[in-house]
Amino acid sequence: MDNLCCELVEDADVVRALANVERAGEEVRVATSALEQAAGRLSIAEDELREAREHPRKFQVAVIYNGLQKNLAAERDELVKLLLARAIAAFGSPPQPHTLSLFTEQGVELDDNKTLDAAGVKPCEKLLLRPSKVKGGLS
Amino acid sequence: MSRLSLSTTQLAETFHHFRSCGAGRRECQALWVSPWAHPEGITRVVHPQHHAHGAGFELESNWLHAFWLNLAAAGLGIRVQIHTHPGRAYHSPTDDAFPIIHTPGFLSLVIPDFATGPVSLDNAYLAEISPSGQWRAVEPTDLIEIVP
Repeated sequence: MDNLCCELVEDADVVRALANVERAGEEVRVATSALEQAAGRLSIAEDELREAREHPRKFQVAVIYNGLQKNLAAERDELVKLLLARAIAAFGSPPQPHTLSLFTEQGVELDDNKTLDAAGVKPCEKLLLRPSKVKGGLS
Repeated sequence: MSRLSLSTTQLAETFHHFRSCGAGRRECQALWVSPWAHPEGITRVVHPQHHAHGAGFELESNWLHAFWLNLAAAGLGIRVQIHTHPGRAYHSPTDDAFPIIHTPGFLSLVIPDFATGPVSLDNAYLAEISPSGQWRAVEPTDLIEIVP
């Protein structure tokens, strides 16, 4: 009888422990699922952070005109012609702005009708504000 | 703009470029450059790479680009563009429309007769961009001082 009672008590402990194990297992499954979801969200957030750092919406560029350099605010999605207008104004509103363009340091003329992003303009990039043509004479 | 100071040597160098490059048959351009720290004192005469004929010239785009970067690196600015005409000196519509600098106060000097005459500003024509953005004639000696 003593032995039977002891076995019964032991069985109850085992049952309780098994229930605890099952509950803990469920908690692990829930936590694992939450961890996987969190890892997914972290990955997305890291991609967004990388994108925001590599292609920030607002940044500055350096513009050079006649030996002077000025830093101007720029936006990834604005048209080159808007930055060009600000650059022209920054250097004293030259009177014939239609003859001026923005060029990369490598000498590529930026298309006025593209966005800065489409034109490949990067944060802190150095741009040249200069005439496309310089000519003179009687003809 | 303050009066610019140019040495007789620099004026002679400018005429030398016009005569050797233009050979009395083609127009030619030079630029007078000075530091932004002391803009009134011309320190360099620059002879741009260009195409030219008897009635006009045009700067090489690649040269202009490299020059633009050099100016910034050296802290220099262009103060005056100078070019020759075959006959009398004046500012043509092309001169008005395609200067190298567009800001008010910039000067454009035209030397007559392909610079084959005396090395001086006599008979030269000086134009300045006014605050309204229009070119206006000014007296060369009012804005340019030739010093020994």
